Amino acid sequence: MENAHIVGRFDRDLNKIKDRILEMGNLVISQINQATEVMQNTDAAKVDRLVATDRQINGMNKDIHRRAERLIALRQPMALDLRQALSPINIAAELERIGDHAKSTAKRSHKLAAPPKDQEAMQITCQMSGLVQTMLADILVAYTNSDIEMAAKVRARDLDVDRLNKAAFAAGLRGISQDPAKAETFVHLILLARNFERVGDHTVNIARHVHQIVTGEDLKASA
Amino acid sequence: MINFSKHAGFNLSRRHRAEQRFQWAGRFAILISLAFLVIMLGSIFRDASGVMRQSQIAVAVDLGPEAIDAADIANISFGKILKSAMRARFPDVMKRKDKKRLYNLVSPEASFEIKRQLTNDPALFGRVQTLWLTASDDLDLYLRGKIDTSLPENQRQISDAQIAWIKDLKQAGQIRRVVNWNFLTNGDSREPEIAGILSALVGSLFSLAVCFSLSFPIGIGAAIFLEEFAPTNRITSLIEVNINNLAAVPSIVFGLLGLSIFLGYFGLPRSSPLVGGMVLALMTLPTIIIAARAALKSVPPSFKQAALALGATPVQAVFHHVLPAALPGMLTGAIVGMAQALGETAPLLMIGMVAFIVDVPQSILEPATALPVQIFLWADSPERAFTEKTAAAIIVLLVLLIAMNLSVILLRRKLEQRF
Amino acid sequence: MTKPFIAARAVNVFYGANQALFDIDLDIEANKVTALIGPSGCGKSTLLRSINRMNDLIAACRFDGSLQIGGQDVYAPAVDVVALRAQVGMVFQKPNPFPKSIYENVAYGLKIHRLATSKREMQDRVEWSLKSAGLWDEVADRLDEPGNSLSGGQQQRLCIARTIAVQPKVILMDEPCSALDPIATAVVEELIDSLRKDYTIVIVTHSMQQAARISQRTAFFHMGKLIEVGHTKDVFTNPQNEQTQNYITGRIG
Repeated sequence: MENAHIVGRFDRDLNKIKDRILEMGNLVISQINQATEVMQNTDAAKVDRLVATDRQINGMNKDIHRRAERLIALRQPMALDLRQALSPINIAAELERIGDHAKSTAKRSHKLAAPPKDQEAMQITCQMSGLVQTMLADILVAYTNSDIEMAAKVRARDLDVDRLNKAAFAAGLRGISQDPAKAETFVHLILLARNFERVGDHTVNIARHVHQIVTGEDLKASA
Repeated sequence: MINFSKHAGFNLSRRHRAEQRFQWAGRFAILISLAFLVIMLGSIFRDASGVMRQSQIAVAVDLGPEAIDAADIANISFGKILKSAMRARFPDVMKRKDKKRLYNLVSPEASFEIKRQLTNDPALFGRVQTLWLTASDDLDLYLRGKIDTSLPENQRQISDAQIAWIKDLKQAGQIRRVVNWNFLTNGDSREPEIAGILSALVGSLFSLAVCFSLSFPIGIGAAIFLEEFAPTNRITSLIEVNINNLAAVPSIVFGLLGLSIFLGYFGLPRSSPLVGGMVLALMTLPTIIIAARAALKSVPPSFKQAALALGATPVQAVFHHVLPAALPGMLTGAIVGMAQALGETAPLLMIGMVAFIVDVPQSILEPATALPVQIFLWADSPERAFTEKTAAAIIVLLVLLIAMNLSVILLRRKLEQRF
Repeated sequence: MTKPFIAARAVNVFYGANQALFDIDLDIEANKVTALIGPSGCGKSTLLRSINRMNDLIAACRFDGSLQIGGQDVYAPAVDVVALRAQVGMVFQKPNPFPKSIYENVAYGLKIHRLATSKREMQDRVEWSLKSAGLWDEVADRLDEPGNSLSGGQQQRLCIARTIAVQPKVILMDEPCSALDPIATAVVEELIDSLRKDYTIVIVTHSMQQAARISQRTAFFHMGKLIEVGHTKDVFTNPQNEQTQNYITGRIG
């Protein structure tokens, strides 16, 4: 906001929380990126690192929650300020869930005996990964700038993710029917794709929060 | 290093010195004023001490049936009886001039005292009686050593012969000194030994009563209207300015006003406490109005607002809430005005309350004088003994003032409400 | 929206040459607490004092427009302000009990309006008022003590009891809690909420939290203009006007 509060501490405290959200968001994006790499090339050490980083992300979620709570208790924000103080709690929770999905992706990928790189389902899933990563990066920018148009575009792009998920599901089914011996691999691939679809849904939730901060309108309620 | 001591700088030593200087200057000022008060009161009380007691001479008066006729008191010449009694006490005195001096040992009032005692107690008739009679002021002064006997005889008020008689009487136990109540119960007199304050006191009280009953209601009423109801416009501010100016008008001007209006135009009785009270009321009105307005102003407006918001009419709001809260302050102002009026002389001189009044006035229409006027008259008298009377009258005036102030303090304490 | 109980239409108020209120159109609903908020000098107190015509006491004050309570025009020539104020009570910023006993404070309004015919009835109505103001249990055994011997919060509730004793239709409150500590404030706020079912309450407050806590409707004033009015829950969560937003979130507006 270009017009500052009379009590400058509120703005400083709120900006610090926003910085933490961005930090957490970037870490989550890198987790997805790492998990996708693990999906393509099995690497036990990387999986361990990923799990450790997820714990760090959980800690960041708690830290943001605590800071937002303190901000509300001490500054008693109203209207826009209240939404700005409340939203980090929700956004951090969504990011934390995305982080969980990245972790579960890495663990599941580890179960694949050899990454079936040439499979169509695998390629689609990687495509989904790239898409949700850009969506996440964009929504972080939209959050920073309170840009509801950008947030709306991010929400629209989730349709692509859903479509890709359906395509991966179909490709997986086809693979099972063609080669029933590799059925387990294909089921894993279908579930991996589903993970990224869930990441897309959480990103859409964040986009809805961004919209609510600015307009005060709850998209889920009006939908 | 933080330094909290007086050497910490900040120009402290100079500031503390200035502080001390001012406090000492204040103490000194109070000391000076106290000293003057003590000197003033001391001299007044010293001068007045003589009035506390008076001298009496025991005279053997012949009240036998051959000397007087008990049935016809009114026509008896008690002066003659007294004179013959004095001659009987000192048979050697032959010369006319000496006889006169002898008679002068007793007060000229003494013959009336014999008459009064006889009227009160007719049993005294029929034989020679020894009566205590008031001595003259010169004898009293001599007894108290106030007459310098080292001066030549013709320069003092008491002759050698008189001194000899006094000594003789004293040896015979025929002179005594008693507490003097007459000062408080008698009216004025040409003779200092029997002159009293009562007529002036009653005159003052009558005047004050008239003054208070006029100026308090009028003043309070005017103040309430001006403060609470009058619209703020040019007329009210003009009135306000004039009231403030009136408070500074010399009191003699009010006396002139009383003389021309009350006496000249309305023809009210001259020298009466009624006119005196009216003039004093005119004089105290501005004081009372100003004090009452200040008292009204100091009442928090929240009382009035609360009453108005409850639906009280403006008059109800003022009379139920503002007035009771302002009353102590108003009373103080009124008493300050009354004290001023009590001590006022000039306007009373103008309307004739300067007369020689022997009898205690019975109503506000009878001629009377007032305490400060009486003090002025006595201070102006040639007789030495009147100096003491003056001082005593001042004490009476001061006691009256203190009593008035005390009553106000008590009244305030009773009326005052916390808010 | 239900029919408004108090309706201000095109209200302009002037103090001499200064205009304090500009074209105010405001509806105040019955049996609701309406909070008037805004920075100092915004005209909220002026509007409050226009409702019971306390502004009449200021010689230079001029009212223009129409203000109706229950369909009756408050500024009609036939209106007697005494009758108006008997039915539109007011509670002030600083607790201002009369310097009289607690009993006398509450009984005063009843006495001047002769609302009680007997001593017994007077006592009953004083008791009822003190009970309604939630003060009875604290003062029942010391009704003869002076009103200003009570604590600040109790004094303010005494003032409320004094106001409701004459059973007005409307109670106007001018920052009633600004001189009270938070606990006393909470007690008075609870009282205001309980009075809502019987009275229409208009409250001016500097505390936005207080307006948010106790009012059903909030009107925001700025520089003598009514900027926004609406349900309190909307005004404080999602104000429609930028100025309102800036004010309630503590930005320079």
